[in-house]
Amino acid sequence: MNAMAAWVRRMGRLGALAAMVLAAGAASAQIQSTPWSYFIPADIHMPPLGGKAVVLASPQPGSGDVSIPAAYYKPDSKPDKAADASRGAVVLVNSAAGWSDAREGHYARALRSAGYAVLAIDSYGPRGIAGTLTDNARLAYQVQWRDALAARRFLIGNGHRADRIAIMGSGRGGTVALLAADEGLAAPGGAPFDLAIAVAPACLFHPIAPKPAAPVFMAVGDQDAIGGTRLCRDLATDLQRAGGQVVLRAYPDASSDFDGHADLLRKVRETFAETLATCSVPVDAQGMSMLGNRRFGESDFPALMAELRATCMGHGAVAWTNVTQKVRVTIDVIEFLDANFRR
Amino acid sequence: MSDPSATARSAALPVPLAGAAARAEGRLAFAEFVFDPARQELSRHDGQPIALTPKSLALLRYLLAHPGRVLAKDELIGALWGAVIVTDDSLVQCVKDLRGALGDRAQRLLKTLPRRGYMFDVVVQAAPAGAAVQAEALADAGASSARAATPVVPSRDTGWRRTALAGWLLVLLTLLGGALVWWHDAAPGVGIDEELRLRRSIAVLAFHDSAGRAAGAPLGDQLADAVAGQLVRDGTRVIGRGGTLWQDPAAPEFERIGREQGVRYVLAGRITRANGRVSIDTYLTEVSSGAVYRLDETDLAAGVGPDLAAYAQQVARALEARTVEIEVERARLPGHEKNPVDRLVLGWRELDRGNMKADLERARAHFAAAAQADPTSYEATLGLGVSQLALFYAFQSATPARTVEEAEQTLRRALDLAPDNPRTLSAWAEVLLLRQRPEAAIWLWNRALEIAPDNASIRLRLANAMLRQGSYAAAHEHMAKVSDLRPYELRRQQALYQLQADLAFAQGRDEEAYGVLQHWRAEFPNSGRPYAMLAAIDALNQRDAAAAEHMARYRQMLPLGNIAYVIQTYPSNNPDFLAQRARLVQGLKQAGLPEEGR
Repeated sequence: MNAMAAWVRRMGRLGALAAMVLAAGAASAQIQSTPWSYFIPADIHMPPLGGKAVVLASPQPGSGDVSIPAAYYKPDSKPDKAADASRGAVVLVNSAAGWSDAREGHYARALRSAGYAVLAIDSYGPRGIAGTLTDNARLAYQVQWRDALAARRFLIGNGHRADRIAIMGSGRGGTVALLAADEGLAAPGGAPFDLAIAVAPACLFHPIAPKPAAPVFMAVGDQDAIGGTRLCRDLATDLQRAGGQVVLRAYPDASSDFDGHADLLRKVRETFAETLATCSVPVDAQGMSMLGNRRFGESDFPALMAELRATCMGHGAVAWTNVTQKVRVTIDVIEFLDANFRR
Repeated sequence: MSDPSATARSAALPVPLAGAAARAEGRLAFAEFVFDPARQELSRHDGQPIALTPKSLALLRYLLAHPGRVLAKDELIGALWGAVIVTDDSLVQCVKDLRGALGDRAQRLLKTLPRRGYMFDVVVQAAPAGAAVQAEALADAGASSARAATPVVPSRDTGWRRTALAGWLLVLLTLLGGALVWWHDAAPGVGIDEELRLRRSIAVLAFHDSAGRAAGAPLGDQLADAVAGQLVRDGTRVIGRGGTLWQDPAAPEFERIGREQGVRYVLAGRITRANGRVSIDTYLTEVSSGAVYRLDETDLAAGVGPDLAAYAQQVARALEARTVEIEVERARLPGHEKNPVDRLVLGWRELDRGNMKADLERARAHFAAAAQADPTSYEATLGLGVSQLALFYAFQSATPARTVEEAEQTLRRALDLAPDNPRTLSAWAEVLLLRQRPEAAIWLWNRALEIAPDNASIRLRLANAMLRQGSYAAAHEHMAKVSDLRPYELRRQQALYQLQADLAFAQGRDEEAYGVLQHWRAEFPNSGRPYAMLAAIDALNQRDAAAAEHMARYRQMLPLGNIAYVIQTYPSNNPDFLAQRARLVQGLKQAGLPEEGR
């Protein structure tokens, strides 16, 4: 019996030791893993799913065409229904993080289910840009705008009514979409879109003499540290005073990234994000940005950004996804489209 | 509206009699009452019977099995109603009825524990009349007492033994944890069918009405109730309006609904009134991702009320299509390859969208893998059987007779697993039709339609059978009922084209059939099936070049097709139809289709 008891004791020590080794191994494995992998979902950069992959030719002044990847979502009702093309279509511009399934794919599928064709475009990939969150100067807003015009031409070429095409974007994409709100902002390309839909935009461009060009839907997060809310309210007020039709809706507990990936529910601070909440850039009727005594055209975009960095731009923003508000804004966007395009 | 399937489920629910009650299975005494489980009767000690409603009786049985324990409301609802979703009100009423029967208004026996549930605070004993059972129960109880009374004397080795045991336990748990992590993606925690039901669980909110509840017309409530009722009838786990009344329908909190109700989806709708028109828009939201889909949009003219039943069916069909779409997207993500539920989902997608042999074989492989992972899964078994039938009907089987035999064996298992499911009945009817038992098949399809009157697939199969029996008007009637259904479905549309062409040809309207087939060919260029009949009609009408071209195309796409195979897909004992089938066969022979093999 004594031998047995001793054996049991020895095995007990061995077992405890093995457990400690295994536990220590597990702990060290956790420490060695990339910290970001804990926060960032594996499919964060997955491009929009469920659409048909197409490539657009986007002419750029002085540099020929750039091939823009796009995902084309056609409404999934009967193919012989002529109503599909007449309901309307939406050009979806990518956000500062680039296009993703969680954001652009989400909107595209939702709008398609409501009977709208959607063309989501990726302006960053073909230009080798991973994102502009920490460096807005990497790509001018006007370049994304020209890509959107190419997308509009594609839709018209595929049988969609030219008088029922909206432009939409989230974050930086929203800022680009807002260029369609006013003739001056869109100059010199004109403002051919019939609706402008901006989710969590930075409303930094402000027409000096507003000439509303299309009904606008602005969705702002009340805790958006990048775009803020005040400048959007100012822009909405001025466009309305000039006779424009603007719907501005504020969403509670919503950050700049409230419509992002559903697994990013934690509040994460992006230390190097450039914030534009207090940057207001007046724009004249020719589309030139005015700061002090200087006028900035598209080719001066890096200089404009440098000026903003020296004056109003800040750094660091806390962002998180709010699924409930993401749902709400999606339904509101559909209803805004319906109010203008349905029937 | 009554739900026969739900009633059947409810009646069949096992209410466990655990502990002393389960052991005894004889008469049980508590307080001044005696309950006889065999007779399902409650009486006083003096023998005076007490009437109970069936639900109160079920509640009493459950309480007797769990005396002196806190029973949460969810537990009681689960035990009494099972898969049928009810609100707390149903339980409250049931408790009230039982208290009334027991004369327990003061809650002396059945106590309400605020925010926790209920407790049946009684001592349950075997009633004196059942001496043998009582002896057994008492013997058990005595043994328990003896065990409880035995003093526990810690030995000197107890500490080390505990350490040893704890150490090995830790090792085992760690290894088990690792295995579980590995296994996590490979298998769901519950059976495939239950996992599928959980994945499709849904909360239905009252629709938000821009006019509020003015004029006493709660249209939003009626719509939500109609949709919830339809979904329950379809077998979906539904939290109805009663369970979500706390939600503001104008601004529902989706995350909270998902968390508190444990549902995957939320269905909500908005009613807007403008310019004399009423618009009803229905949305589906996936709680975890925030994915939004519009399920339906209906515009009503002024003064016209909605057809609630038709609307609910329309929404239910759209919901099915959308949830499948969501599940398919997820199933295709990396890391989901091993999950049998995801394979099941992908199997149906391949079956719905696939035209080529490879698509159908992939579907069969997905179902086979799912059925292997969970042999008790009805969904996997049915999918496997249907995919085998699809291979046969698509002319993609090298051994058609054997494929039908395999389908028959598989579907027989599905019939064992879910004999009342209309989908099973429909698939089994298909086997009966192929076995030249059309009357039995048609009876089964009609039975399936009684259970699921809005199931387009069943109606199409029934139309097919009626056509083969020469009942052309009835076939046409069934086809008309599904031709305008929304949303558009590829598989349904192809089946419709096939039926329309067959119906026209069977009635001698060859050119009409030809037009349908051209439409079919244009819309589904990957489908080889229209080419056979195109070639036959061309040949019958002496358009030899066109016949040869169509036949060449058919043989290129469906090389396994031959005369014998075609005849197998057109079973009938109706002379009129057989005459038309002979005409088709003649056209196919003229066009160059071989009798058998290549």
